[in-house]
Amino acid sequence: MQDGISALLEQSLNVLEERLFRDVNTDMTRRDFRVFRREAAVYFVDGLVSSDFLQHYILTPCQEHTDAQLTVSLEDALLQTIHVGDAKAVNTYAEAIDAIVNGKAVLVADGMPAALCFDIRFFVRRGIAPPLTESVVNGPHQGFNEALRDNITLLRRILHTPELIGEMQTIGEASPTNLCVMYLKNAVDEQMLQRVKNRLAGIRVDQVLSIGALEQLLEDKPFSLLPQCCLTERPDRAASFLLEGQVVIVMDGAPQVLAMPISFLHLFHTPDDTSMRWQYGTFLRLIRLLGALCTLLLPGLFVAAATFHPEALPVTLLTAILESQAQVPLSIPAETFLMLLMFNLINEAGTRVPGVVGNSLGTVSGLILGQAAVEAKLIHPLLIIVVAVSSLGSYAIPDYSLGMAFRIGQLIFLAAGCIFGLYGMVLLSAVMVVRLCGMTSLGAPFAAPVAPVRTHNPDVFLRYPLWRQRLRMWLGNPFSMERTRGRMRGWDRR
Amino acid sequence: MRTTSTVHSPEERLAQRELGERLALRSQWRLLACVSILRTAVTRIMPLAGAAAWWMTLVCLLPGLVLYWLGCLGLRISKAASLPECARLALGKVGAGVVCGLAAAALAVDAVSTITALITLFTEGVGTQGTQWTLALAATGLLLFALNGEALARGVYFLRVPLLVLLGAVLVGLASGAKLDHLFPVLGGGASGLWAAFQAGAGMGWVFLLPLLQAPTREKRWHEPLPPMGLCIVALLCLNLALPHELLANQSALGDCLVLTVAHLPAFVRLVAVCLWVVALFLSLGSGVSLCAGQLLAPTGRKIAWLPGVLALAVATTQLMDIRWLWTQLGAMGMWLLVALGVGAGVSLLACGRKRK
Repeated sequence: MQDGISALLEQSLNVLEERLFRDVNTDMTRRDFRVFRREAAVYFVDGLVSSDFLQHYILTPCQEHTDAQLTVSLEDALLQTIHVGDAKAVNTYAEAIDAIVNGKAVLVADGMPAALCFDIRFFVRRGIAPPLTESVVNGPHQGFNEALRDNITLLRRILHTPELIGEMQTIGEASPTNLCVMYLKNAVDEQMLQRVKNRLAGIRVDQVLSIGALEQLLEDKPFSLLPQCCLTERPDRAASFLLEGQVVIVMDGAPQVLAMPISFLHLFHTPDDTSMRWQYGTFLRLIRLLGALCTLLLPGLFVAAATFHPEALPVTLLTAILESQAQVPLSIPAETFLMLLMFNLINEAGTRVPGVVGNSLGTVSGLILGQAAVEAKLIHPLLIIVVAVSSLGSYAIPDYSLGMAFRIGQLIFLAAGCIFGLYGMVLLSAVMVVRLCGMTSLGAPFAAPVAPVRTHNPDVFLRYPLWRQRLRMWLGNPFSMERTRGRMRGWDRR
Repeated sequence: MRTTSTVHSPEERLAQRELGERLALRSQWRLLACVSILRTAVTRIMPLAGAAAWWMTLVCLLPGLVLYWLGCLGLRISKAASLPECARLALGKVGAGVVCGLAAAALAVDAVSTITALITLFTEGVGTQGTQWTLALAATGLLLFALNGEALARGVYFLRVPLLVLLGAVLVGLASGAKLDHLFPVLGGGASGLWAAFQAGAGMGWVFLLPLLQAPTREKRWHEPLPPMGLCIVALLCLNLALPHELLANQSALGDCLVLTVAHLPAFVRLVAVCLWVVALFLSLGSGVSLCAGQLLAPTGRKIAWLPGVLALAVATTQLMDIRWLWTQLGAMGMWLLVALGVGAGVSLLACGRKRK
């Protein structure tokens, strides 16, 4: 089928009417008018364009030139008449339709073998609100929203440099979704960037509805429990990723952006770490790591110690466990599994119900149900402490996906502890560390810069003093390793 | 805003990556050396030498150490990057194949010894349900999961600090019950016992020759074997200080020997010590298998991803044999492996030196 736009308006209108299904698609709107003594029409989707802009900048100027004489070509004359910044001529119906469904106004006129696309998009969007899942004490309280343009703007407001590149792409064959691959030109590793582009180009799906789906299509090891990309809804965090030489993908309709490559240890970092003084940041980071270890190991350790290695426990603690265990019908492993399942159930229920109800649900389930279960001698009081501490630990993990991975890992370690005791847990830990060290994120070692060791920014386990962080984080081969040269505190001569 | 500074050249970036991998490999070798030395010392030297075990181990390591230094000197003179390269230059591909084959054989024997010790630690020492074979299969299953390209070396590098911390805790636990009297008599069970201990342990220095098999030469510093050796001697000294020699002399079973090392510790530290043994033996087993596969493939220059897995399974099948007979045979092989590796290295270096002349 011939796809080039016809100079005959009637033919163009027929094609567009048919392809836009205007007979049933009532929000596909057409407005006919005359300009430069010719018939013309503008197509747009009602609700995706600004009515004011359409009226003031397209229709009114055209109507003022209804009987004007043409001195240049019609295309040039229209472009001179219509004062919209982003105007573009397209030559095929496919491009014109793509522009219409993307929220642009498309003008076709008799005698013009092209269509003019005007970007006057304006649609309902959520305002800039505080991030829902990445709260901080120190630092900005603004998060991304679902509008691609807004999110790019938020990043550009932080990084005032032309080196911040944003390459627009679409993904999805049936219903293309816009996305923007952003990076800092002189910081990014070119190989990594090319790898991202190749992977995006290699995705064959009809549509990508969420950035989480995109993450699953891009990651190196889809069967691994650990996330290999980082989702953030904080513009300042995304900007820090860009400054480290990472690639950030912003997708239309997603209130988070996707950063890659990442390393495992950097998933424990939060923007708070950098905003706060290094002593506080270090303390909080160590607390977080401790919380993560508690989540992963504590229930398994409790079961292993109580079941297989009672001699390793202090006598008073062992006595308390045995005394209360005598009154409980279930074995310690069964109780622990049950408690963890209950915790996950409460957590999931709390997430799905609306905010206020969710809080009440947490209180009711956590306090009343727990207390009732202890009084009914269904569970061990000590076990409630163990499960509560390990659950608190999971909430201290800043990355939600990593927290989920740790909660699943907790059950695996518990199983190892139940079957093989501490030896099983220790062996499993060693194997898990080895597997972790074998993972990659966009081809970069996942446990870098620790294993394998690389020259890197020392801000890994501890929050190193800011003025001594002269290097970028090592991931891949950044174009430039050094962030700055010389003293950061230039005035300090010590 | 300024975002650029010094740009690293591709060579510098490559050097950084190579350094990382080299450090990982070195930590893998060090772990293998420590575990191999400690395992042999505890199970073979200690029951024979008693209170003299710590310094007898040092003596037993000397042949391997001297061979390593001679190898370093030979490589420096011959200007070859590694022993296999030296053998290839002097004796052709067959020579390189023989040297690599000998190293692979030594690593395979070490892996069999390690898996035997690991499983026996449970079956005869700690006490657990399950036969030698089923536990070996379970360990191999985990090992197959862990054998993942370069991951094992990186994992060992990652775990080196936690392992050292655990070892430190165990040594402090041992030192807290130390008595100077336990080091006497200095000559242990007498000359005959010392001679028997030397015969049983003199071959364990073969692990020091492993760095000579890998390029580049500049890594082969004279003091390379000293850190693992020093660590093992300190650990054995602590053991000797903590354990009465009468107790050491009466042990003969493999599992008992391994468990004896932790028997006098407080309950919690004992648990930590057993866990440390388990992890160290497991990682050493994995390292032995992967390095063995590396040596087998080195002359061909190919990479076969499944070979370490096959080797791990082959190592596990040895647990179908009678364990006491197997342990005796493995002990007898120790000295011959050192001799074979030493002769292989010597012939290669001499031939290479003569050829260069």
